[in-house]
Amino acid sequence: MDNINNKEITFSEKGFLFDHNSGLTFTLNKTASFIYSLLKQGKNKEEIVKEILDNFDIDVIVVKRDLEDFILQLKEFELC
Amino acid sequence: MLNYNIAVTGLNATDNPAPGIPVIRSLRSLWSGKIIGLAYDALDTGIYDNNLLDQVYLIPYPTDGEESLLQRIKEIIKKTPIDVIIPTLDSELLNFIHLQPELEKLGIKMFLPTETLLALRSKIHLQEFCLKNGFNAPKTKIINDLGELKNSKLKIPLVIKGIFYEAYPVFSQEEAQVAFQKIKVKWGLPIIVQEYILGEEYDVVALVNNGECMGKVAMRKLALTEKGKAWAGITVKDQNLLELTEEVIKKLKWNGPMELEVMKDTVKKKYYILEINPRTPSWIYLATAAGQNLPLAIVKLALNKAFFPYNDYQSGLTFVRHAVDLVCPINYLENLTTQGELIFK
Repeated sequence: MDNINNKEITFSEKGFLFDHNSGLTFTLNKTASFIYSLLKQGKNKEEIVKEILDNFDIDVIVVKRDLEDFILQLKEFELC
Repeated sequence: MLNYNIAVTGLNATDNPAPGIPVIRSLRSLWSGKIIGLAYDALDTGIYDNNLLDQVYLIPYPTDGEESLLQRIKEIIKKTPIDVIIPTLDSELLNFIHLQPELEKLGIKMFLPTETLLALRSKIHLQEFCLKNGFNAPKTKIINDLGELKNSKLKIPLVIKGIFYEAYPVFSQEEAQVAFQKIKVKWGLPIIVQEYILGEEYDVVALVNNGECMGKVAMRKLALTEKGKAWAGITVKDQNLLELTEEVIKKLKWNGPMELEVMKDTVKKKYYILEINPRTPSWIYLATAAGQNLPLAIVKLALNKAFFPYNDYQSGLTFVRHAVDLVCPINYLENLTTQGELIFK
């Protein structure tokens, strides 16, 4: 995940994401936006899991699974 | 403000829009000279926009030949001298290329590709050019009757294209037949049949002068008309796509304006060249708004004036077309149909 900031991507806190390379736009939900902003800050997976658990009432197993799933989606769309 | 008289063709701005009006929009605010529309039909929609055009003259259809075009231009310049003509339609380019020496003698400049270049990138030779130079292109067959389509190895879905304009994606033999007939009636034979590539559609506009790329802007199509024309788009900075454009320019030894139409297979991450058009695209105003005024560059290069290449542009800039009703007095139509001209200023 260390190259996420090398991508030319416009990201707004409202959850709108524009990839300047592909021209594709994405809408992130609240949790995905939260995770994406943490990734932009350079946080690793463990730190992100902790931040989510601190901010949302959710099971750690679900968080870890959903985080992996979200990162896979980012990779699929060449966003990280 | 620039004080040259510029004439621009391709002024029909329907659902298959020609590039003339966006070319004029790129120049209008910089111009104190006359901007003259050269139209083929009294109902070419853009000619009624008196905020963009100073004068409009009807010219003979490309099929009437170059001599008839030359005579008409000679008549026009008796009324209003022209410094530069910017032809924007594929179907007329050959006539203008042939007339270039004659028009030069009349003091009219143009910035065009050569006849050889025009042929090299034509839809008929595109697959051959791509194969020879290591570019991906959809499998293509040039046909003159529907039997050839049935006997070809190309499988549905396909894209059926006219030699100059229009393209229809088809998903059955019946749709293929309808598209074939529709295009045959309008644009004649041959018809180009291409393998349908599923992916994201991109366009690049570029301008080349003596081997030097004066500017290039890439755009992803966001919405298409049923004729496959971009109705909305967004500027992008896909470096692979921009490098592909440079490679194509180099291999063709291109000179002049160019539009590269590309399909990106998003699964295989491969780029397929769909078309190389020898003119500015109808979305050229987006490139101007993004920071590269290529129509201005065309005028300056035609006049042999210095022009420094553009190096950058704004990505993430979107265009969306929408239809506007222009309301005009009856004498506009009267002047065009009886005198072949419309003088606003």
